[in-house]
Amino acid sequence: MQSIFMKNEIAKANVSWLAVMIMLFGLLLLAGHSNELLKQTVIGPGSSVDLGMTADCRADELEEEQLSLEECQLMVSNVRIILSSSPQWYRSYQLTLSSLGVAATLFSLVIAFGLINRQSPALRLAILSTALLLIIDVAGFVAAVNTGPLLRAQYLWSLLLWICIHLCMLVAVIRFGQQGDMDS
Amino acid sequence: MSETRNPAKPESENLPRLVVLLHWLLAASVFFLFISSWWMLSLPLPSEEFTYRELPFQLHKNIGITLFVAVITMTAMRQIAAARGELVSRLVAAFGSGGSYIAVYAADGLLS
Repeated sequence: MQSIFMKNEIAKANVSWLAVMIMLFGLLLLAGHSNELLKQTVIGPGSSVDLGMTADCRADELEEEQLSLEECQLMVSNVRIILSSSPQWYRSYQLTLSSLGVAATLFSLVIAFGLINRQSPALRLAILSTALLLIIDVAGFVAAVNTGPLLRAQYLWSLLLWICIHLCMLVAVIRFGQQGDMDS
Repeated sequence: MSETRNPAKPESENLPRLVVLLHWLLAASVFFLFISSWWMLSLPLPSEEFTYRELPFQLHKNIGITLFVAVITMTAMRQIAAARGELVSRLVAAFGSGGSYIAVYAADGLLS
């Protein structure tokens, strides 16, 4: 009898820990997707860098920002890298994917709250939300693979990391779900 | 002897949902401010031609000010709650969260 009680307590603690992990990674991912949304909004085709304008590096600005002239010029190159390596479809694709990512992450945060509050359907919904996040990561990965090498270098590593994190979470959620089904 | 707060219950069950939501919203905003500030500082310096920094900087300021007001309000509400009951434990919690918020602001200010 006591061992069943202990088993239940351990299972509850495991689910709570998983929910905390989902929440913390969710916050980070939410910030990441929001920043990507901002990035794609700010850096668009037809802007000054795209029109071939050179960097305007004033001495007072450089001193204030503690930058060298070379760094200031490279900042413009940084924007040029994004614009040159992006295919035409990439910006709208990223805007849509980031918006979906924000929505899916918010959904996963709500589900994680449910897990902490021990709501039974939350575990099944957690599988759904984590799978959704994984699909979004894979979609982002596939898109990044089809861009230029300079943009790929920026995106692929972090996307691969997120795929690993969400895959681990998905396996854990499915396992806890199976345990819950066996106990009931 | 009646208790207004069950110590066996997690903190989240004792707080109103709106306060919990506000706390998580603040946490999400702090993460966003950090990530966006690191990124926006790599944008070209502002000039007449280059206006890339305008939107991110304005957004950073707006979210930062909103966050600051929210933190002050929440700390004040905690102080009021502390005056009502469980003075010592709530004061410790208020100073703890207030201190962490100040630390976050200081870190953000230093980094950006």
